[in-house]
Amino acid sequence: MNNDSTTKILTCIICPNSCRISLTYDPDTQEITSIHGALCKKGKDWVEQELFKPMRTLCSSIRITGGREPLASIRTTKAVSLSSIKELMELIKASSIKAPVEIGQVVLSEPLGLDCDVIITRGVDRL
Amino acid sequence: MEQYDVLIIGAGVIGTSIARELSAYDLKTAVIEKEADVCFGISSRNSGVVHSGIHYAPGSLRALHAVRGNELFEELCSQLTVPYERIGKLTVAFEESQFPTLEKLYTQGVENGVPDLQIIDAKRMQELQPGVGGARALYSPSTGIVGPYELTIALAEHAHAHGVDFIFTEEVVSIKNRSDLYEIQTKKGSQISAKIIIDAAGLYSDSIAHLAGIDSPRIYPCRGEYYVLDKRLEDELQLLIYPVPGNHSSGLGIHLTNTVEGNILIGPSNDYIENKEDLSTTVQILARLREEGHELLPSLTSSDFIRSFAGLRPKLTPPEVGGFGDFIIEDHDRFILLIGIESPGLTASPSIAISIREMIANHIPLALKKDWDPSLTREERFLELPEDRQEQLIAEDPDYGSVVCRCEGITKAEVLQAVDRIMGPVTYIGIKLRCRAMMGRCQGGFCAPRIAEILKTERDITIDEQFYKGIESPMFEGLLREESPHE
Amino acid sequence: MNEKINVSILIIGAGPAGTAAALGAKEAGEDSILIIDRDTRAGGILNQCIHDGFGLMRYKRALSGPEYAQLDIDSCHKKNIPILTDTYVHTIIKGDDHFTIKAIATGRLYSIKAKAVILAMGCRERTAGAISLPGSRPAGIYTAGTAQRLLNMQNTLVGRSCVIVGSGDIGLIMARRMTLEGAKVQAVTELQSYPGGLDRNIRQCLDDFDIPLYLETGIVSVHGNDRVCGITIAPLRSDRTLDMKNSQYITCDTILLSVGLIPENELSRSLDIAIDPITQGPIVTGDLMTSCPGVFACGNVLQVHDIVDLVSEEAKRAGRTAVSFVSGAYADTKELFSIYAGEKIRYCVPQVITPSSTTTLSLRVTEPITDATISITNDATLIKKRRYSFTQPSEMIQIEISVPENLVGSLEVNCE
Repeated sequence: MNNDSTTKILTCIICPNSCRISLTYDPDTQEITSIHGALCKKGKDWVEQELFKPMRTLCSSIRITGGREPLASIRTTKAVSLSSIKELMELIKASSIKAPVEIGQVVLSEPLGLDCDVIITRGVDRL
Repeated sequence: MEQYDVLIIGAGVIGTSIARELSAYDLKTAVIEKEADVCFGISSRNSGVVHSGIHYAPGSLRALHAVRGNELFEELCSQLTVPYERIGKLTVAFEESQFPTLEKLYTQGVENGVPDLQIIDAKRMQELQPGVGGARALYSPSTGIVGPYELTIALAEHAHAHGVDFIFTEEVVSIKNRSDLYEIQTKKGSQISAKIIIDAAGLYSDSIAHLAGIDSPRIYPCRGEYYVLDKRLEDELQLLIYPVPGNHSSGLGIHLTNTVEGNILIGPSNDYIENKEDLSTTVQILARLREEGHELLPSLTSSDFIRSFAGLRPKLTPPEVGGFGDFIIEDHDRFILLIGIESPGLTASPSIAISIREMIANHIPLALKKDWDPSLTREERFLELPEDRQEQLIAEDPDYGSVVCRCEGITKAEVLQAVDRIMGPVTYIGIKLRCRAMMGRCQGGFCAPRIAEILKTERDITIDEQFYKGIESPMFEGLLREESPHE
Repeated sequence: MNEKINVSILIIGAGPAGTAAALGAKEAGEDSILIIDRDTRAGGILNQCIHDGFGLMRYKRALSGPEYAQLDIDSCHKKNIPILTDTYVHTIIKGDDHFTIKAIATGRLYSIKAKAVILAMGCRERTAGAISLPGSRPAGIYTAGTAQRLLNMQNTLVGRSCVIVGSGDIGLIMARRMTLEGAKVQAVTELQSYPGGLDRNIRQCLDDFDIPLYLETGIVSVHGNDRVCGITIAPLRSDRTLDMKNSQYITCDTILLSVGLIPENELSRSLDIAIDPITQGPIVTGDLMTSCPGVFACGNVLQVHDIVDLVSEEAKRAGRTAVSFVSGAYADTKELFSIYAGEKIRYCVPQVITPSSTTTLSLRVTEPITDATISITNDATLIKKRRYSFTQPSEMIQIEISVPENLVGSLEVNCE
């Protein structure tokens, strides 16, 4: 191990196993030299990503008009970069959909040019 | 300017008892209260015990009103459909050195006219309360328990039904004596006049008296902290058990108290504080109460503590003196001052109300109303009714079938009735005190959101207009996403 | 209207446990099943858990709570298992060969006869009273789950600036939710030296938004008469008392409590079912039967879970064994042996087992442990041993064991 390398322990958030993955990397070249402690391949991939460009699934609520309930819950179909979440929230806050809505229904398609849709996760019947 | 014969300042148990007593007579009476509702002060924050009268010096007002009040309670509570039980009390001596105190209390009680007092031995104590500690006890069967806020609310509703006006969220800031009339001004600028003023302002009786230029002694707020325990433990305690009081104690000692609802209280502590609004509980006292609770009730577990609260006593004795002062009830030229009405104030309230009515009769001739009905009927809790009655009610109002508060088993119909019974602004505390929703073991965790919804859809009270205990006390920040008003 | 119903199996609660129990019973061949729920919508607490991460074990996908719940609700509908919502069970009476259940719903009363009852009522949050929160009692103190329901179901924001007391998962999830909705989460405080919630939630709910977590920190006082105006917190000294010299005042308008969950066993207690003082759920056998024959328990009413997939699995099992009970295939003469939570083990469910059976043990450790070895022994015989590189109280551990035929005394679970 050379002196320039950095070691970090990250807790994997892919699943509730919460693996503590230890990784060593060169902060200048962003090259990862070793990864230990992941129980699966997904965890290995995740930790590489997490270090330089963390990705998150965004879950929130969208305004429903004319429904039995005022809100439907929503989420992105894929994880998006953490840095894009603020802007995406603003878009969601400004949107509203007419009831009825059902699970899986796309309410925002590729918002902000992101590689994902925003879908309904709790249906709301018409009033 | 609205003109009254009698204006009562303060809507606690004393103010409302007087209001109800006066409602039987041809008088124009009003109650003015700085808070949003009745019994937001001392009257809802105490042990709810109807004392027998053993603790008070013979000849004192406390002795007189406690014994007479105790006698009146049974009929009063049955008239007003208020939960009341005469369950009895043991005052326990743990060591021989305390026996003389027990004797003294017995003699004093007999002199005060307390009925059926007995000094009993450990064997008899065990029969009354299995597992109780102590060597000897004074048994006072006439000691009872009452729902203190149920009583205060019922008194107010009954008075209101018989013509007494209630004015909420109005704080009296000026009182002028105009020879035959007092002129009152409130903080909001309202003006009211009355021939007679009754100062039943509890912790603020002294300041109200000062406004009228009366030289009243000062009140020292003395805080008592309590825990409320889960109803699971209801059967553990058959009657009230108090330790023999110490010589200079300002309270009656930390003890367990049954409530009419089946929750046991632990407390109260006894600490003089500076601020009359400070109802905080403290880390130190709560820890002490927990410790004593575990000692007094070995089957207690940590999840049995469902709430803590604090109440204030309006004491006339300064901290360095301690003990108790006697009630002061005086007529200062049609300004009737009631001050220092601490324990046994709740017990004394019906008796005090009679004395006040007699004092008023010295100034205004009183004529009984012909149509005055002493009773206030109230439907029992839906889930406690027999099934055929439930069926009948549910057919009349389907909302009886929808349970809002799961812990206490309170239905939507009962919540709405509680909302509609509130005389002042609708508050969550007001709803809670009237129907017990939010008062159970989850403390509103599940039902407060349901109530928010019910207020919004059934009574057009928007999220922004929902208050916890007064109009300065918003429940919520607001809507997450804008809703149009017509949805 | 007083409706009379006869069923084989009555399930109380239509959350993930209740619906999965119904499906388990149906798969085992039972057709006479009824689910009752007091809420207006089936799905239980999952309806308000709009964050993702549910179903990773069962479906290999990260679903939100409502999506996960809906899958089992849909299966119940497809299999004609009725679910009565807005229906509140207030009384259960045990008869000789059946139970009588009294319930009410909008406009009607129910009187139900059932041969077996599955308890799936879930849990409630510990309150300010339960943790003895010191200070005043203004508006603005909510349990995290209550704030979550208001926010996610009722379009209501409880406050703009909050401190979260306790680092349970719901509190962590709410820290992120409130932040995303524009509120400022000032801090999360925790009495223990380790967080109450899962690590993944610390990372994505707190670290992502730079929300400080103060471990080993207690509450000195809540401030405010009408509405919360602040809170004073202080670190704990080694004797667990508050170090007042280092106390700090934080201005806020809201306090959210995330200080643990309590299984809702009031109905169970009315049947005199034995309750484990640690889990606060019923004491059950490996078949998830309580001390009252014919009454089964699963999900959070039995023990608080952190992963819903495990709730579903447990509930299916309860459904299946309830069927074997009503069909008479259940031998109630089986001998029972206790399992004790030993060294560094907080609890173990089931608490009693029968010999020569296969049983899944659910347990939690008492403190975070690196290189943990958990062993299940009977007398001096080792039944099973499992190693974990790291484990902590927030993670439920499940170990499947084959209980031998010949047991001596009781079993013991230890961790080193």
